[in-house]
Amino acid sequence: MSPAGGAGRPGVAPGQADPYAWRPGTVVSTTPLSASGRSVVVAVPGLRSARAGQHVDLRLTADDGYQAVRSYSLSDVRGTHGDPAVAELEISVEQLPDGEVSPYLVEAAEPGDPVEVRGPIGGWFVWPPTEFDPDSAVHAVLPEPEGAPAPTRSPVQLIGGGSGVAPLVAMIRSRSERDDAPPMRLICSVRTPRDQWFAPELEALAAEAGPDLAVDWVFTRDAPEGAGRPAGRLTRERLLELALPAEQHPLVYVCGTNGFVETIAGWLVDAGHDPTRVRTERFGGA
Amino acid sequence: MAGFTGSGRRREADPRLPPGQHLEQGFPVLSAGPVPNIKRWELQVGTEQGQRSLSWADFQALPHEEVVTDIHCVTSWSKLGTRWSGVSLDTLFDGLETEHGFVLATSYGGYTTNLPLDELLGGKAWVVDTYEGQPLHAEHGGPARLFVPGLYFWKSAKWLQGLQTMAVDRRGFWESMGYHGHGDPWREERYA
Repeated sequence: MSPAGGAGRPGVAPGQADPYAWRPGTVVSTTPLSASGRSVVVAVPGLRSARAGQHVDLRLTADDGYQAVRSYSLSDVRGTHGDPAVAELEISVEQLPDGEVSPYLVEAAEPGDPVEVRGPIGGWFVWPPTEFDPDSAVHAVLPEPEGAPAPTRSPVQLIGGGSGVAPLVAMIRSRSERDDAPPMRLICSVRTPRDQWFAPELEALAAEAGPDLAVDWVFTRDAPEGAGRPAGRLTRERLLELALPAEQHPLVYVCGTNGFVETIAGWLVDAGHDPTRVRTERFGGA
Repeated sequence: MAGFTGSGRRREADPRLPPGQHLEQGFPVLSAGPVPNIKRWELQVGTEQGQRSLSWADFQALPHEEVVTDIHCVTSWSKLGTRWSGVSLDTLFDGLETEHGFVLATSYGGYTTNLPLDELLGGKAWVVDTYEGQPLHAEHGGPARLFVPGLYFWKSAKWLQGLQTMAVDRRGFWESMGYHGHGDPWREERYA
């Protein structure tokens, strides 16, 4: 188990930098996404290269020493792939009513503000997927479905509810950096056209990629002119019509509230999707 | 520059909360995939000396204990005074000798987690089937989950299928992806 004794955090050998230590960062820029959401770019010198789908913990400290820690999915990891001295990450935050940290990030944070960062964290809800050591317990109990392409070669279906699109956007942006990427589709459920995060950028990337990248929006409360169908919740029929079929053994990433994720994942498994290929990330309480 | 002022509703400190944790009133659900479809429940308990297989009826017939305690999730929420009922691992391993120091817990659906055996014996761990007086709901790991309240809650494997001792520690699911091999919330062993 942990080789370390004595001082320092368990699991970190003496003299070795702790990859999960808090690092000082600085807000670089902010970009509005909707009336209640915005992206915040944070420069974190020395940050490790992050993978699309990972999250970080942010720690904010008030003048009187009060601290708050929250986890946020990264919406862009490309700024961590070059020189670590100038690493930048992006998070995309929806303001929660009665929130403690999200109102600061969405309304108050300004370039120059300090924020500490721990991470990046996570290795399951990531694309490209982790290739597990054949000896690992994970590999032993999650055998690949028969006839399925290797996870790194499988087509990818992304399904996001509201701000759950953030880590999925990171995946699409990372895909745009690669020459050999498999096809990717995104289904994004939002309340109204005003809640579409990243729409122009996603549409530009899709136009550039041709048939290998598609973005479908589902409007639950208010559909735009020319949407072709009235607003309404994402139904099982509509999901199965839009999503890559089970026969293609896609890797599926679903992110949203617990209710959204539970419903979507259940429909996919009922429709024959391999349960071990449906990866989920949830936010909010039950 | 304005900076964070913490001028919103602040969360209260509480000595029962380990470092970096906050109090949660609801019961958030976290799982890596869909809730598994369990057709016939059976629990396997094994060491290098022997194996034991329990049907649901066998499991129900074992003495259950009520446990009221705090739980701590690595995603930083804690819940205080939760009430569970289940079978102690001392009972499940009773009569199965072992020289091994570790256990791999496996779940329906493919989840795994590794734990030191001494964190599971001596009244520290249970297989629970009841939460707050009700049968454990599937999204919280029902019909039965491992319950090791002394460690971060990802160690309390949902939809438990088996407990197998190991001579050498082998990393489970989250432990293969950057989460700590041990997971003591009071030492903040979140990631490794």
